[in-house]
Amino acid sequence: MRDLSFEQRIEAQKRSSKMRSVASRYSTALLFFGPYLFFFSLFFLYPLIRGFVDSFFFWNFGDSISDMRFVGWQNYQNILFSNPDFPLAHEWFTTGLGHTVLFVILTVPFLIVIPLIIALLLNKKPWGEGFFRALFFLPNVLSVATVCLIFKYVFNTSMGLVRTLPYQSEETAAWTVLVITTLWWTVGNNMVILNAGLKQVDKSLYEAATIDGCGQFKQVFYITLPQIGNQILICTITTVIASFNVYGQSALITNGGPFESTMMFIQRVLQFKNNPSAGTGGAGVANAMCILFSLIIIAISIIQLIISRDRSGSPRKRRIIKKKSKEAI
Amino acid sequence: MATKRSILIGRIVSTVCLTLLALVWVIPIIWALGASFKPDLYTDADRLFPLPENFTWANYSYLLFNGDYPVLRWILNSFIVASISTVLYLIVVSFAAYALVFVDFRFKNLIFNLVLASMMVPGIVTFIPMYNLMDSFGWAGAADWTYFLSLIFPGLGGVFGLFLIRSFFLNIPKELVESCKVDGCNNFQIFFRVILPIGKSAIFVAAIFAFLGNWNDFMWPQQMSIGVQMFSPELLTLPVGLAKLSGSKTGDVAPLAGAVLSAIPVMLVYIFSQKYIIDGVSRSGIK
Repeated sequence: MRDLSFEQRIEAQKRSSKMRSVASRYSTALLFFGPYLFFFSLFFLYPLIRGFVDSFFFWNFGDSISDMRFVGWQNYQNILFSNPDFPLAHEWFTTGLGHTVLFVILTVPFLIVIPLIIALLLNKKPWGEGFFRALFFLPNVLSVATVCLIFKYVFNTSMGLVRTLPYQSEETAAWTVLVITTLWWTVGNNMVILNAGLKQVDKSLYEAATIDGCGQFKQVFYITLPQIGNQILICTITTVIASFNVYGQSALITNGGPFESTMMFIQRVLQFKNNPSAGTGGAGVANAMCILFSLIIIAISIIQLIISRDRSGSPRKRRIIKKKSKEAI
Repeated sequence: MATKRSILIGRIVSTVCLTLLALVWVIPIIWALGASFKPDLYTDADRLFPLPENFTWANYSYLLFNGDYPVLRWILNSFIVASISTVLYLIVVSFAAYALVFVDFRFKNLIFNLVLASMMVPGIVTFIPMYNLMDSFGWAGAADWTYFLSLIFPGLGGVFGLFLIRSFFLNIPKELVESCKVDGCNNFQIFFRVILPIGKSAIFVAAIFAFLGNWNDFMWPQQMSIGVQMFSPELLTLPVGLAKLSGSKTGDVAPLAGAVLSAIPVMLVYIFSQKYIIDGVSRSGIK
């Protein structure tokens, strides 16, 4: 120390205090963020990786690790191509996925258009605006069990409120009931998001359009919808994901029937766990089914994101626009 | 003048349309409420409410006092599980959000983006390994209260609350934290004395969502409670219990009374915090 000049000593002191501050920053980060990271890793990352690894094994529920047998892509092959030794893998995957996709196709358009209409109406400043918004959102806070129980009775064919949809015996009736129940239950969510988007639209755009002689309906298509494109995109992505995850409605109302025609993907996965007739080795197949399922959902989400990016130009272009608008302000 | 009139017309038309639509939304609830006071589904089947001479509380007293279906216990169980998990989640997540916003560490953004991306992954993917994990802890399928732990803990890795609180903290000026540090406060003091009081509202919104999410969850508790369903049904949570309720004899409307009872607690939460809930949902769409 005696050899160091005054400046050097100051420098050394600075360095050590900097190091100390880095150390304290990291210990704070660990203390504050560590617990969440622990739970996130234990309850999301670990199961995700474990599910992926297990999908390459032949195993059953309750097996210990030593009972598991590595089979490579066998589970995936069984699922994608029919294997006479394990026909259920292919059958349950394709029918379950098919029904889920049908459910997505039947619900998502309504779950965008109906909330959009309600949000547009709310934007016209009706009397009791807050009341209507609260009312349409209300079913959202109910549990799926409550909602399905109510609608099972509402659609009771002998003495219900609506008696013309025999959902226990006819396929189309069953699907109609599932779709109506889902709409009634979840329309409010997107309505609130879209309504919040509408409130952010610059009012002067409408004024300018009115001066230019643009009618009310034209304004919706040329001003409103493009302006809330972002919200519509978010709604579409989240609704598609939510509809892919359908379980409660078909489990509780139709119980997958009639004749397994509304048996959804998730119900099929659970059957591998709970239904002994699914055969041995079902756990690995169920794992592989889930991996394929999530790949499909992630792919769809990414495609939607790419489409939206094309619509609003490249990221670079958007940055330039953003910069310009900032300068303008 | 012309625009004023067109605004008025818009208000009238939208009010009329929304009133009609609102009727469609309300009628199932009114009908279910009315039917829950009927002796059975066949009495006064074409009326929303039963005639006064047929009006009965029998369905409610059956559910509340008979003991075949301990609905009150189910409500209590759901309340305990949802409350504990909400409190734990808020503690974990608000600390995490503070670290994400006010503490610099490496890979911070990478980690947060990873956490956000987890929202895209469907829950069923992690279901089987999660089930096995709970099984190895001895929680899944247990026939006693230990299965509650499997309903409380897995939610702690959830993203939505973290996202909500973080986005609120981002609006708090960093200079505030810096100046507190200059004054000699450590991070814990800043967190408890400065940031928490400011972020109360965001934490409250996150609390409501965490509570409702846990209260309404169906698939996970249904799968976790298979042992309980068989041996000690009084330990079920409300949604799973309701699902069992629906399968009794034809024309019996006691399950509808159960649905009404189950809706009361969430309705109360909703009525008192409606503004915050709707605010939270609309914020999830902006960003």
